[in-house]
Amino acid sequence: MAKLYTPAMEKLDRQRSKRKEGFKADSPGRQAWKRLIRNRTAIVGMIMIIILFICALFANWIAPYDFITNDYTSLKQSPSSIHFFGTDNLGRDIFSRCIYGARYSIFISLFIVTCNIFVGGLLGTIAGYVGGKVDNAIMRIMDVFQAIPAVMMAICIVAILGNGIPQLVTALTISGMPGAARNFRAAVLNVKSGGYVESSRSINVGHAKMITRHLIPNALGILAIFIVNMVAGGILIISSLSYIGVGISPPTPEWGCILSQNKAYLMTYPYMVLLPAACIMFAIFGFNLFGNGLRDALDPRLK
Amino acid sequence: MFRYIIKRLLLMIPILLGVLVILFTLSEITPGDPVDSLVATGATLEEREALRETLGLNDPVYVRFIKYVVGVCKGDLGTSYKTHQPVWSEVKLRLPYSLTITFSAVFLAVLTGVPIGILSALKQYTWIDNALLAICMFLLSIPQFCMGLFFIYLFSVRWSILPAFGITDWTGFILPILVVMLCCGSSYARISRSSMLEVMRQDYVKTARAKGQHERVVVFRHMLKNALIPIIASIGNDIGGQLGGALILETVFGVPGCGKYIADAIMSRNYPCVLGGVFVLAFLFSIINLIVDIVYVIVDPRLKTSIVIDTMKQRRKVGREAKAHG
Repeated sequence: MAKLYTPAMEKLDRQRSKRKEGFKADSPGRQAWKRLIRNRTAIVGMIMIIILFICALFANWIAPYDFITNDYTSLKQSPSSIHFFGTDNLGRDIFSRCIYGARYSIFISLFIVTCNIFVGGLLGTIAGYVGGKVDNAIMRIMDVFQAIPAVMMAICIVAILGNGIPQLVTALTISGMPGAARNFRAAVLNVKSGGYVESSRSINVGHAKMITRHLIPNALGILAIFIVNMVAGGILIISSLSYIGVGISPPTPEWGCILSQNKAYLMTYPYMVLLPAACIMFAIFGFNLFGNGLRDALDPRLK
Repeated sequence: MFRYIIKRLLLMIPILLGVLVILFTLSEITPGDPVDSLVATGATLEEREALRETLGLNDPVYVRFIKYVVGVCKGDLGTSYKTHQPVWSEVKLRLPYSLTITFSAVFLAVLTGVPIGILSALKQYTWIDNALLAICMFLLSIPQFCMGLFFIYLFSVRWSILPAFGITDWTGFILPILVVMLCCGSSYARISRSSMLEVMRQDYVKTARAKGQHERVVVFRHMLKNALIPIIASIGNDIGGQLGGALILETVFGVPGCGKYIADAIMSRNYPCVLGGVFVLAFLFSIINLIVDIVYVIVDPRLKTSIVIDTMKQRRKVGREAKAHG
């Protein structure tokens, strides 16, 4: 039989494959990243988040004063170049307290989100993946939990367990569970119909590996926006709860705590309340902007 | 449709029962004896025991739970440990405050937020759209209690035109309503903008334009009616969230509402009030969700057919089974 594959053809093939490499398309993740860094609001949000993280991580170096030491020589001083945000009724520097506050708000919020992903997310993933009766049972239980308003539920649980950060995390994990489960379930159902799930099933991939290696990584793209919003919501609810005295107790420089301690001075020394409140807004605004940019990047259809 | 409503009403029963189970478990595992906060400091053991007996605390848990559920079915939510008044009569007095604030605020939020969202979508990528989006995003980032404090500072301290604390007449309602309205309104504006944008690209809008329909008709008849669906869904959720989260705002503004009542009851370990109050809120929440689902079906006739098809399938299945057995 005649030789079909001539050297000339081989050369042509090599050229073709080279050209193909040149035209290689970006992966969806890379495309989303490119869209994200081109999005101005997302960049602003990202910068705000980075500032917050720097404040939270290096509070010891950034804060000019200690957050707990009372200074009776400088009580209730208005904002100045010595005390950027002024001082409170015990002479504590409010700026330093706010810087340390970033540490509490951000890390507790991130921790709560992680717990939510592990508890609510896992339940939702199982419900979506297994389907049928298991799905029905889990989601009906979540319906019951969702019928109790989340804030109410969190306060009830903190009232039982007592004030403290671990208790607060437990309470917010339980009250955030139905929402997380619902979103994860929807994302898993969305991903489950993908061709790669069917193909990995056909080569006998186990359930655990299927969930951890195929479903969750693919669902995370859909869930990224939800997770960023959850961090913002976490900061909001932590500060709200500590404002009414639930969860974190006063000497801690959590933003909500600072506000609730200083609220008596709203009439006479408004900066004591308004500036810490601005910190909370800054944090939530940053995460919201970033989440919005992320949505535009991941879901270009909506823009 | 009627069958659907009945089915949904029946579905509410297990959910509310589940809520009672959760609440009852929570109050059971709470450390501390409610008797401690009720008796005088020098009370003898006999007096304490007598009080436990009259409160029914000596019965086993399941007996108390069944008694409570039976009571709830009869409309009796228990008696407050503190005031010895029926919980329902106390909640009834406070409910109007919470409901007035929530409903009027959500109503105003829809009236303002939805038109803003529509305007923003129609003027996509212009400065109007950008400015409105930025304002909404900013308002959404302010926690309600912070916004409350800002407003108290501006309207009560700086300009002293509105009361800062408590409700003596209608002016006390203005600030809380304004806060809730701004928070919800900005989220409605965003939702209606994105759902309008989604709808704008549909073929039926193109068709409506192609057949020379007036722009106003295109926007309100063809676009808005379809874009309303996600907004309605979020209204239901918001009303529930506001009723539950009301206690924070009620603390800020000193509103004697339902949320404040429950928060006070939690702090003083007044279990019947917590159970009763949260149950009333959960009940309201379920009813609101039911109404929202019904409105949903009315607004989106496509869902109606799916419900009808669902029941038809069910009927056919039952028929098939009956045939197989017979």
